[in-house]
Amino acid sequence: MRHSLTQQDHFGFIDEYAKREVRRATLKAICIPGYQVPYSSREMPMGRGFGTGGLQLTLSMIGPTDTLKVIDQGSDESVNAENIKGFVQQVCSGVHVTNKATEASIVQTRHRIPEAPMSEGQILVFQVPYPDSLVVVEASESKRRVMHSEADYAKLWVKLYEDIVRYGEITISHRYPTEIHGGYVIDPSPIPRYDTARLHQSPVIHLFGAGREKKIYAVPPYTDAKPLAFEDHAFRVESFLDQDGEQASCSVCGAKGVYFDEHYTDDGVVQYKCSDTDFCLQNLTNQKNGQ
Amino acid sequence: MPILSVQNLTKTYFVHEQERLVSTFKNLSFEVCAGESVVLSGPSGVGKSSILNCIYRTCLSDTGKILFTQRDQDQVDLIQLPDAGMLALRKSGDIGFVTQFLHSLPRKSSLEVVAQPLLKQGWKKEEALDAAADQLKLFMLRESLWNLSPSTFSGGERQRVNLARGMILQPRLLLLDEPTASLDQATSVKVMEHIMEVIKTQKMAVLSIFHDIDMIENFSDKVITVS
Amino acid sequence: MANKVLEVNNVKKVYGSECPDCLQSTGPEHASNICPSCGSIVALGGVSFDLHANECLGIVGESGSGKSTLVKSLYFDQSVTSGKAWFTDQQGERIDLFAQHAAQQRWLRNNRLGMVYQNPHIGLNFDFTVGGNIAERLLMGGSRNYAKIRSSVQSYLEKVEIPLARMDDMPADFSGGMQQRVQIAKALVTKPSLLFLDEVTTGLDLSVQARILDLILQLRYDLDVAMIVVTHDLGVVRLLADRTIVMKNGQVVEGGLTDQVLHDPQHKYTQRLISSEL
Repeated sequence: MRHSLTQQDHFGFIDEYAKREVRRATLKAICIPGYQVPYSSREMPMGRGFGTGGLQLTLSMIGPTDTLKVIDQGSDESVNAENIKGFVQQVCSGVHVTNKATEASIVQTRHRIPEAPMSEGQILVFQVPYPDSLVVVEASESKRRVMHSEADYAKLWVKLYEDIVRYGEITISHRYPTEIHGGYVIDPSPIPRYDTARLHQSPVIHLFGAGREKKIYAVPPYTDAKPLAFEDHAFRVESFLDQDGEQASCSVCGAKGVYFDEHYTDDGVVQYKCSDTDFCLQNLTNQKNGQ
Repeated sequence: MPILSVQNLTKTYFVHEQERLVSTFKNLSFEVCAGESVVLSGPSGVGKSSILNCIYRTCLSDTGKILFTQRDQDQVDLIQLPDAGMLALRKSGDIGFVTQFLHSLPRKSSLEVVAQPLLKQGWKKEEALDAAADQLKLFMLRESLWNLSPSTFSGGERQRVNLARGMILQPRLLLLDEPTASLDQATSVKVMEHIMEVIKTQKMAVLSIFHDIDMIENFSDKVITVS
Repeated sequence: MANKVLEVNNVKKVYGSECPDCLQSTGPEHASNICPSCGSIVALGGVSFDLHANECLGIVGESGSGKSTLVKSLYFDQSVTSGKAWFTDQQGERIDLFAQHAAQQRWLRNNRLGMVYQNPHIGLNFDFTVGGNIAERLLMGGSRNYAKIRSSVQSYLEKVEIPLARMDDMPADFSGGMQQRVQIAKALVTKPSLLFLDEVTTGLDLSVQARILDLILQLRYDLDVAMIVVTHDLGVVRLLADRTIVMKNGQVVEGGLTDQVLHDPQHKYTQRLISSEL
């Protein structure tokens, strides 16, 4: 059956029963920080793996007065982000879209947290490919569930231990296992370590939706988020250094101490650029206005 | 008070395969005092070894009493004593047993074999090995053999290792089952002279089995004939 | 007299519907452990024994006698149908093993008990290095200091005579005897008060067997640990065990000091078992 999207479609695309189920799962996830709540992920008009988990979260929450921002690796203009934005506008009449993180009530994101400081009441929706932190050490889901319920994370710790044995430090760059509220250890989706650290005691509601794996979990506002680390091998975030070993700055806006994308110029010189495009643009605008 | 007092001891074996009861000694009674060497004599098959086995709980006894006087002068009946109590008496060196056979792991040196009872008691390894060396010297084992496994030794050498291990704790009650069977006459005499000296100085009580009439005559304070 | 580490009382494990005849019609005096009335399998038909601190108990019997089921139940690998097992830890706390919930059982397994399996693939995680395998028990116990974990792993590898240069190799690259040594180090690294050894030398060649047994003996003298050794090999209990119980068809046939059981066996089955030893 061919389904064409029209303004007559149901608001938010998914039916109210499905929305209710997602909302219930979301509430439960917020009540039990870090716990993966199973839900019956619906078919969406895009392939699983393209953010269907995040999209279902967004669609079940969004109302006509909401303002949505969608980013993909920090960029508002990438194909994935634009398509999701377009789709939500099509099925949710009246919803505003924005590029400004501070103006959005809901930010759906793939693998980044916006640089601009966010505040209470805002919701961050993460698109999650692999929701279970234990999947790297245990293939059986039923066993993983028992391990989570008993806080049995020794095997995960052995992975960290062996990383140090092999490389002298923990080399996990993204999906860094993080203990939430002293209990469950989550896979915070493939956000960089720089962003993992920012989950801690953040005023924002963080919701994680895994469409293919049919799981929803959350880091509520003002909750402890502790990346796993040894006493004598502390967790550290990415450091960006220029050729002189100094703290690098954005080649476009000059910002320092934020998360960068790495580029090579034609002469083979490393250049850094803000990964968050909106943040970079804001900086440029401010600089112009200042002049 | 004697260290060992055996009263009305009876032992039978039941061989299930043949449904046959094998009787040995019946209502046997005797005593062994401190500093005394008592020898059991009698024809083969009369159950002399079984007496030693009953005392050391390598065999279970049928009826009777085996009273053993502990260091604190309390008497216990070894037949009634729980397994753990018997183990404790063995480990502490209250009761020692030297059989004709030496069970040891391959690869273990003679020194380690002899030191084993001390290691069990938690001695430091070096000290235990030193003490073992002293014992092996007393039992005239060539020093070149000390670091070799007894499993490669001749019968006589192995028996001396066995004796050295049995004597290292200087047990208050020592049971010897043909300790000199594989030794030549001259060595037997030297070994037994040494053991007798320790018995007298340390006030050990020794109950042994010899087949050699001369040995019985020379190294016993008392002979008990089992029939 | 030494304290009791473990008191096992009337432990039963029945697979099947279980009828009132089960216990009477199975056991050592009968042909098998399958109940003729209801067809249930009586893997353990009321087993009781004690274990004292620092003692080594041997459990011998042929395949299917229930000896492995017994230790696996005590290590929570399997559940029992009924019965009690009281465990007293180093602090003197008396714990009803079978009444513990899953998380407590896991904690006990990790911190108070140790197990060496016949099959290293069960006892070791072949995806982790040898050092990682041993570290896992420390990490499970809450150690979070990398350097300290490293050094205790090293000291236990030294105890089981594994060259430290091989600490970060994978278990699959080790010989069978070495894998058993790693298992022993893994079991002992959390300083348990009770260690289970389930057919640890079975399948190894004779000289390797002797070295493993020698190692276990040495560790017994050095460490304050009680052991239960499960084996079908009478030579193993002769060397290791202070006391031995003999099992057949899920029940204990007889028990006593090891040399007494081997030298003066009372039960028909034990006499046959011992006379058939090579």
